[in-house]
This record gives sequence, structure tokens and C-alpha cells, in this order.
Amino acid sequence: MQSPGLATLDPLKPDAARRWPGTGRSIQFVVMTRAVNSAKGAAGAAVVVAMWETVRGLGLVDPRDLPSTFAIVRAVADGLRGGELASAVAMTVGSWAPGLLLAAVAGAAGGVALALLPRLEIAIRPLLEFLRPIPSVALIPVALLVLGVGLQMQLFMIAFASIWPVLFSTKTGVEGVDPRFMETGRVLHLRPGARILRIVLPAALPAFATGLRTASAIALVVAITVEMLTGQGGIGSYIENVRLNGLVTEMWAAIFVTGVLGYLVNAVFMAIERALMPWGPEYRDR
Amino acid sequence: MADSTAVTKPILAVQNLSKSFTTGGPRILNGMTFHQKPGQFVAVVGPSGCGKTTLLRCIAALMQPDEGEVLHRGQHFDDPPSWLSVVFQDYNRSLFPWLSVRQNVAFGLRGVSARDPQIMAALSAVNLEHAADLYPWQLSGGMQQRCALARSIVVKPKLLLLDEPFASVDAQTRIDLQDMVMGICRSMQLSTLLVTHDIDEAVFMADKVVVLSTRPARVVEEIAIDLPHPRDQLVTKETPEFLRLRHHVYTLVRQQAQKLPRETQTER
Repeated sequence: MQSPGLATLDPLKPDAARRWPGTGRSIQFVVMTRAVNSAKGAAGAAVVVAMWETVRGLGLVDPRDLPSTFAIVRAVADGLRGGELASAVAMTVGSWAPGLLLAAVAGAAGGVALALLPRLEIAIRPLLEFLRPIPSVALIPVALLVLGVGLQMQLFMIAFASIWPVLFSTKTGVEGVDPRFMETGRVLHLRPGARILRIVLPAALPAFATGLRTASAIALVVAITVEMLTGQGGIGSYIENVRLNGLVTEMWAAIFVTGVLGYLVNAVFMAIERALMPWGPEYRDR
Repeated sequence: MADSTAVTKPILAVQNLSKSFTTGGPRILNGMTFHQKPGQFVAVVGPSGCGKTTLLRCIAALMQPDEGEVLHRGQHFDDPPSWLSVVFQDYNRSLFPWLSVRQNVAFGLRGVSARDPQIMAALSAVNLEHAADLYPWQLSGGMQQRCALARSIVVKPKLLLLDEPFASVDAQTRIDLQDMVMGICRSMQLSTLLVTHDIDEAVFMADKVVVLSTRPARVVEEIAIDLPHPRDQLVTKETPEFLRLRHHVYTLVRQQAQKLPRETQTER
């Protein structure tokens, strides 16, 4: 739905300067909305902490397995300051990022090709539908056999698991480009190649970005899973090590850090999408 | 080739044009013929759903007819010729949302930057200089349609096709846009073909009104509109000649609209 604030925006109006850039909303409105949303998010987190402490207080779970939230936060701080947890995070990000990049490049290229070349799509579809449902974790033994322990194997696993949302989102995005856009391109005398570069690709960009954001979370899950199973460093290995040494609080701290990492990754991708694609239907009315 | 022959040739000749959506299916356009002289403003009106947009798409060479032909200055085209521009009804589906107003206008000009003076000239022709750096979704409907208009005139076309360009805007904006388009077309000496269902608009703006029948559409009558220029929304529309022409066109269209049920019956 088109918001009335947007439809009536006229840059000649004197209040145009008091608007949040790229939204047409007043600065006051945007700040208020964001403050209210942050407060709601904080309230949700507070409820979870309260429940956690209640479960501990009631003795439903052995308190040794469920350290206090305060102890966990302190362990996070110690782990990050001591450098061990921090370097584990850096190592996980170090395999997550190139793995996701591989998935992004291959998924985008594959998605565009499948959407533009129907014959290729018909030929490859059965293979894709066969590969897609295989849980990536099930491929770890095979990957270990073929590629051995190491970054190469980890990258393959991350890319294999996270390529699907990129591939299918991009394909759907390209297929869904408004035919009127293409007609406009013809009327403006663009050659077919230029129509793909200048119309199809930008129009499909929001769909690609959404797929990439989904993929970024999957890539993180797989990166940590592989680390847990192969013990080759990173948050996954860290969690396994502290668990084996009975350091329960440190284990929870690492899990908490993993959650924060996932949250930040999503937030960063959302911010990039918003900055690069303010026209995206998801952001237009905000 | 001598220039004089090009001038006397119609800029657009629609000859015995027929078109179906599916091969062998019912016809949408049926043996349609009319000509447009260079510099002439032609309005095509007809009952709703009669195939006006299909006709426009054939004329724009976005679609090829089944029978007959569309000639632009005597020539056949498989793709839209470079001196033809189109403004579509649904501006929100033809302006590119990822480009600013300025970039949208520059889109059809090869090798011209969005900062080129040509772009500002086109934007000022539609009173949109102040919005050059905004994005289409930040503009009102009328402003978006002015942006689409700027994009279509910046390529300096000879023939401008307008497909119900004012149908999605409010009444006051519609009147402003009519005046603006008429002014631009006259000052650029454009040949303009306007497809509309609004009879007042057709008679007010055009030099010639082509009335179409219901489906399958053919030309019922071509009516010359000799109202003097410049035309004024109040003065022109109150003249007896305007009212006479409006009455005539209205009667023709209404006759066609009333035929609609009977013709579909005989078709079955």
C-alpha cells in the first residue's frame, strides 16, 4: 500500500528538509518508530532472561548446566578479552565469508542462467531437485573423504549448503521482471544484451539480496557444524572443547556469541539492502 | 531521396490491419485503416475493451499484425523505430524504480550522462527540474507521468504514442497534463497518436479523431477537428463547434457500445 505521506511528497514543500533521507517520512516519525521497535525488542529479550532465571531459580534444571545470565555475560566478556573466543569468532567468519561469497557468485550466475535459458532449466531441474533436499551435514563424510580436513572442504560445505536460496531467489527474481519494463527497454531501443544488463539484473537485485540474507544464516550454521565435527578451529571447535572440559558457562557464552553473530550478520545485510535498494517493496513505506 | 517526398508521405499508415491473440482465434483488430500526416495530433477513441492498446502495440512495432501492415514513413519495422516514443498508461510499471528521475530520463540516450543539459531541458519542459534527483516512488502519480513524458521526448522523436497516459491520475492533474502535452507536441512539431477512452480529451486535444468499433475493431469514422489553436480548457470547450464535434463522436462511440451484446451473440 502506498502511504499517504509518500504520495503527497513534494520536494518544494518547506518541510522537505525535515524528512528522513530516502523515505519521505518525517525525521520525527522515523526516530519514534525505531525507538518504539527497539523498546519492543528489548522487552522480548528481557522476558527470555526472566524465564531463564525462573527455570534456574525453581531448580527445574541442574544449576551447573544452566549458569546465570550474568555469569554467561561475564564469560563472554572474559572470552573476548582473553582473545580465545575472539579468535574463534574471527576464524569462523574467515571461512563463512568466502564460503558465502562462492555461494553468492555461483548462485547468482546460476539463477540468472536458469531463468533466461529455459532449455537449460529443463535439463538441469531434476538434478537440482535431487541435490537440494540432501542435508548438507550428510555430505560431510563424503567431503572429508574427497577433500580432507581443511579450509577447502569447509568452503565447499558452506557454499553447497547456502547456494540454494541465492539460486532460487535470483531465478524467481529474473523470471518475475515486469514485462512492461522489458517493453519499455524495447521502446527505448536497447539491444537484448543491454536489456539484461540494465533492466533484468537491477530489477532482480532485491530478490537476490533476500536470497543472500537467507543464505548468510545457513552458511553460519554449516560453518559452525563443520567446525564441531572436524575440530579445525572456530566457534564450533571452541564449543566442543569447552564442553569436553566441563566449562559449561564458557559453552553457553560461545553459543550466545554465535547468536549475536547471526543477529549482526542479518542486521548488516538488511542495512546494505536498505541503503542500496531503497526502492525495494519491503522498505518503501518505512 | 528528396526531402519533399518524405514530407508528403504519411508519418504513419495503418493499412488493413488485423490481429488475433491466438492464431485462428477471434480477431481483435479487423481490417483497420487510417493515416496520420506529419505534425498531426490523432486521437483514437472507442468503446472500452475494443482493442485500442493492441492497436498501439502494433503501431509501436512491439507486436506484428497477422494481416495488413503498419508503415512508418512508408517503411516497415520489426522493432520500434528510433524516432518513435511511447508513454504507457501505468507509469509505475515503466519508470525504473532503481533510477532517479534524471537517470530514468537519460535511460534511452546512448552515451549521454544523466548530468547532460538535454536531460534538464526535457525535465524543465515538464516542470520537473526540482525533482531530478528524487526516485519515482517518491513522486505523485502526475509527477511520475511527467517523468515518463520527459523520457519519451528527450530522444527527440518524430512520432509520440500515448497509451491512455492520463487514465491513472486525478481530474485536475489530468487537465494540467493535457495542456502540457499539447504545448510540448506543438512546440516540438511532433506527430502524436493518443489512445484514450475519454471523448472530451480526444476532441479537445486532437486534429483528427479516429473512432473505433467494438471488437473486432475497425475504423468507424475519421473526424477532422478544426478547432483553432491555442486551445483553452474553458474557452474551447464552450464553443458550439467543440460541442457539436463532441456530440458527434459521443454518439458514434455510444452506438458502438450498445452494439456490444448483439455482436457477441452473433459471433457465437
